[in-house]
Amino acid sequence: MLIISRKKDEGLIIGDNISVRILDVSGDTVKIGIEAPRQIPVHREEIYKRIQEANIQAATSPLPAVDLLKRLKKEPPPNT
Amino acid sequence: MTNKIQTRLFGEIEYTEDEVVLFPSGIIGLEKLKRYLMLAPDNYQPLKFLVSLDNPVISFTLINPYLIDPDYDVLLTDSDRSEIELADQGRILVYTILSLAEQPEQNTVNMMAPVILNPDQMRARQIAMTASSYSIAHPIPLTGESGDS
Repeated sequence: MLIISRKKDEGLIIGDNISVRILDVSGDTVKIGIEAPRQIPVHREEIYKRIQEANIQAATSPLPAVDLLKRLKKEPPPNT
Repeated sequence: MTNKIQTRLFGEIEYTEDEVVLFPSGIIGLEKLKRYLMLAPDNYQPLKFLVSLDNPVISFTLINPYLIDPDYDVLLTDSDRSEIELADQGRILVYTILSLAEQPEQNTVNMMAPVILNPDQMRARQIAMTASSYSIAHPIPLTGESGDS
């Protein structure tokens, strides 16, 4: 891992089109500004990891119970 | 040509290559598994199932998110569109993943990370809408009481 120290208002350029700037530092919170093309997704790591965990848990689910099927709404609006 | 696979949930299933859904990036957390079958057994309507062809233990139960939230909104980026080879006027199908619990009231659906499918190319992707207010564990609205017939 590349480790670089930055002060407030300093930044980094990653590749041709991603810039990261330290906007504010207050206690243990760092406010970061990211400029990246729209097709580059930026995720909060802990939320992304929760999606990974939810998928891994869901991936070995049993078949749904008949009781659940009976109680689901059946008529969705068109899926577009 | 027909292929066969032994699945955890449905036993042996026959399929043809044109039924295979390709996830070029896999499912988040299971990135190495790229080929799935989508099954829609009559007795499990309105649910559908994604069964991994690379690891048949892995399967996902899917629901149409518009059953949960008629105003559900999916935002696609250019890279989402190119990964599923979506044409400018192309159609997509949207599914969300159920997490099944012992009690039906505790079942949840992941509204934050839907699966989008381009049925014309049989290519799909799970998108992570981490900046949205949608929940990873959204309760499923149920009608009636447990045990009602």
